[in-house]
Parts: sequence; structure tokens; C-alpha cells
Amino acid sequence: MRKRKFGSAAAVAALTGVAVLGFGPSASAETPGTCWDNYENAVSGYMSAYAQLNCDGFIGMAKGNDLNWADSSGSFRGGDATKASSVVNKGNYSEVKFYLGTGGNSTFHICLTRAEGFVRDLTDDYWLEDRTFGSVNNTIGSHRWVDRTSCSFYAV
Amino acid sequence: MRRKYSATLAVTVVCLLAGCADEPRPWEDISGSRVRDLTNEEVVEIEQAEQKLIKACMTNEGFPYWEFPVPSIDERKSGNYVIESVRWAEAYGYGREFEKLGEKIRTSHRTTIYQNKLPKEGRVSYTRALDGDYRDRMTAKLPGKLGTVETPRGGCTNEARARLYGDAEIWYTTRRTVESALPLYAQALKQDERFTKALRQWADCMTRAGRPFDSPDDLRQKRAAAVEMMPDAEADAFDRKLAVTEATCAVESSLGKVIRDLENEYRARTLKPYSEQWDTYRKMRLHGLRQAQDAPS
Repeated sequence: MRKRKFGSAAAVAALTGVAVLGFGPSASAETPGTCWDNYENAVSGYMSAYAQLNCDGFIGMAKGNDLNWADSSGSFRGGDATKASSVVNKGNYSEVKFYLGTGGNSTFHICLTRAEGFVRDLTDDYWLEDRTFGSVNNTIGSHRWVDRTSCSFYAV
Repeated sequence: MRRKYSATLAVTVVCLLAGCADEPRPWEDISGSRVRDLTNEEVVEIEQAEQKLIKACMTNEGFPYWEFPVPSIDERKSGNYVIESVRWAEAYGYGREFEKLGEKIRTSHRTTIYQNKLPKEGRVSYTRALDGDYRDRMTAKLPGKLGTVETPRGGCTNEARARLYGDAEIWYTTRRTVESALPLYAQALKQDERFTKALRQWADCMTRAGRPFDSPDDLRQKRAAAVEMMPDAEADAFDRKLAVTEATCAVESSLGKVIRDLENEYRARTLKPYSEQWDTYRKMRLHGLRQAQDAPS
């Protein structure tokens, strides 16, 4: 991961980009089995999140958006906002964009596309693919369904 | 739709799925000035063709499948950095109808309903027939130091892509490389003076219009909080009004055009070390377009 230096907090806040969840360069994929079982058995049309690696510890699932995983409504509630360590996307139309914290419009976001289907370990994924911004693990606070092009372009 | 193949073509198809080193790649005859990226209209066309091919494959495997709709061009624009056109703003606001449409498709499309009614083993078989088996995976290394991603081999989605683009694995690795470029230029683009100048002009225009926001990101954050408590009709009216202001200022400041032009420039520069994949990506998509247009429907 490249380290980037910033002059000020304002400069950091102004920077936006979208990355895709995957394996970090140092990760190995020795036990993807459990998440694949979850994926195969999952209800089509939904995304789901889990408190532990390898899709253990089911937290919740969603067919729509939830812009606040910490409040008392929506598919994710309360402590869910500091819990997700693995995720599944079995939506058949659209991809899932996760955001750091609540609100669904944070500067820091990351996509999980249908082609990949799941991420069994969020510890080696970083917001904006940059370690400076911290690991995605336990920090997803909101999500939306988006078109795949919004994960790869500013202007379609 | 069942396609009839001659013996030669049958061999070629086997090669597309399994990989045959001696066969020329079907996209390689596209070269020189003919190599270009697809228009949005053409992307819609090949995605629709992909759905038809998935259906044909699933039918062959003995599974029912109803084609999913593909997102329209207007729908694809709802994720853009800024709303570029007043027409779009008036018609769609901030894309709430697309969100509802997406959710409806995800949960009530005929294929989804069929899939979810299946007993457990049936659901697993269906998923494997459609998506492949994760125990046999294709890996793509992302550009820069962004890590790797994986997807299952086999399944009808991959077969459809093999028929359309020419090779399922090369398509996956190439597409992933090219479509993961954004994080590599996102920060530099936002620091470019041409961008910051246009953004300031947009912000000034918004302030003069009585809707001050630092940026389209800032606007979206505040808009989301504002509409959350509104009933639908009120939210739609609010959205349209705000979106029209945003788009009017985007046109006045040229922010929409600037970010589009800068993205083309930065993306081309970012993909320079990956020029072979960029080349292959465009050729495979052009080949896919050719296949889509030649297919009997």
C-alpha cells in the first residue's frame, strides 16, 4: 500500500475515490470455504454482513439501503456499525458500496461487486485502498446499492 | 435461443471456454484506428446480449432463467460526481426512483423469486450453474498495490462472457484491471488546479443561488439527512429543485465537463503501465459488440 502525505485535515477531507474490496497484497486465501457456503445458500437479492471472519456471526441482511447502521431502524442497528468483519453481496442487480461511519456519503467508501460475491476478511481492506485511512474492519456504518460504473468512474 | 454451430465453430467455442494456445484470439483482428472504447448505448447493448446468452446456457443446463433488465444510461449517471444536465436533474432529482427500481428488481424479479423458492440443495445447484464454483477460482491482480480479487470459474455467467468477449478468464482479469483504476488517480485529480478552480466556481454559483455547499459531496451528505424525514412526494419535489440548481451551476462553472475531461486524461495516464490490458479491454468489448449485433435474436 502506498503511503500518502497530506498537508492538512481539509486536504484529506477533500479527497474522494472509490475502491473495490478484495484481498490485500499480503493476504492469502486459504479458507474461503465458509463464505462460499454462505453465498451459495444466501437469499438472492440481498447483501449480508457478519461480525467475524469467514462469514461467521451473522449481523443482518438488506435488500435496500441503510444509511445508518448505528440507529434503531433499518436492516442494521445499534452496535452493528462497529462490527462487520466479513460481507456477502448476492444482489443480482447493482453492487454494494460501503461507507466509513453513518450517513452514506462519507468521503471514504469501498465497493463489493457481484463478481467477487463476498469478502471473508475485511482486516486487510482499507478505505480508499490506503492504510492511512484505516481498515474497513469494524468501521462500516452505512451502505447503498449502486451501479457498477459508480465504483469505477466519476463521470459515466 | 439455441445457436447452431458448425464443427469448426464448435471447436472454437471449446477453446474459448478451456483456452487453446494456438487459436488466434477472436478479438485480435480489431486493430489500429478501429480500437476505441464503447459508447454508453453500446454498453447497454452488450449487457443485454450477455443476459440472453446466460439464459440460453441456463436453459441448456435445465434451469429456468428470465433475463434481468440492464441499467439504462440515465440510471448509470446517478452515481456521477456531479449532475451534468438540467434535463436529468428535472427528470430524476437524486435518483430515488432508480433506488426503488433496483430494490424491486433485486427482490421481485422472476428469476430471484424462482431461485429463492428452491430448497437448499436446489439453491446451491442453481447458484453454481449460474455463478460457477468458488472452489475453482480465477484471480485478478489489481493495478498499483490494490491487491487481488477472485471470482469462480465456470457457470453460465462465465460461459456467456466467453461467447461474447472471447475468453472468460482474460475478460475477468482485464476488466478488473481497467475498471479498478479510479483509486489510483482519485486523489491527484481532486488536487488538480483545473478541478479546484471549477469547483470554486460551482460553489460560488450555488451560494448566489441561495443553496451554499462546498462541493457536490457536501451537498449529497446534507441532502440525504434532509430527505430522510420527508414523505415521498415532498422528498421528490425537494430533490428535483436542488438537483436543477446543482446542474445549472455545473453547466455554468463547467464542473461537469471539467471532471469528465480530467478523468479521461488521468485514467489514460494511470493505465499507461497497463496499456496491454487497456488495449485488450477495448478490443474484447468491440468484439462483444460485434457478437451482440450478429446474434440471431
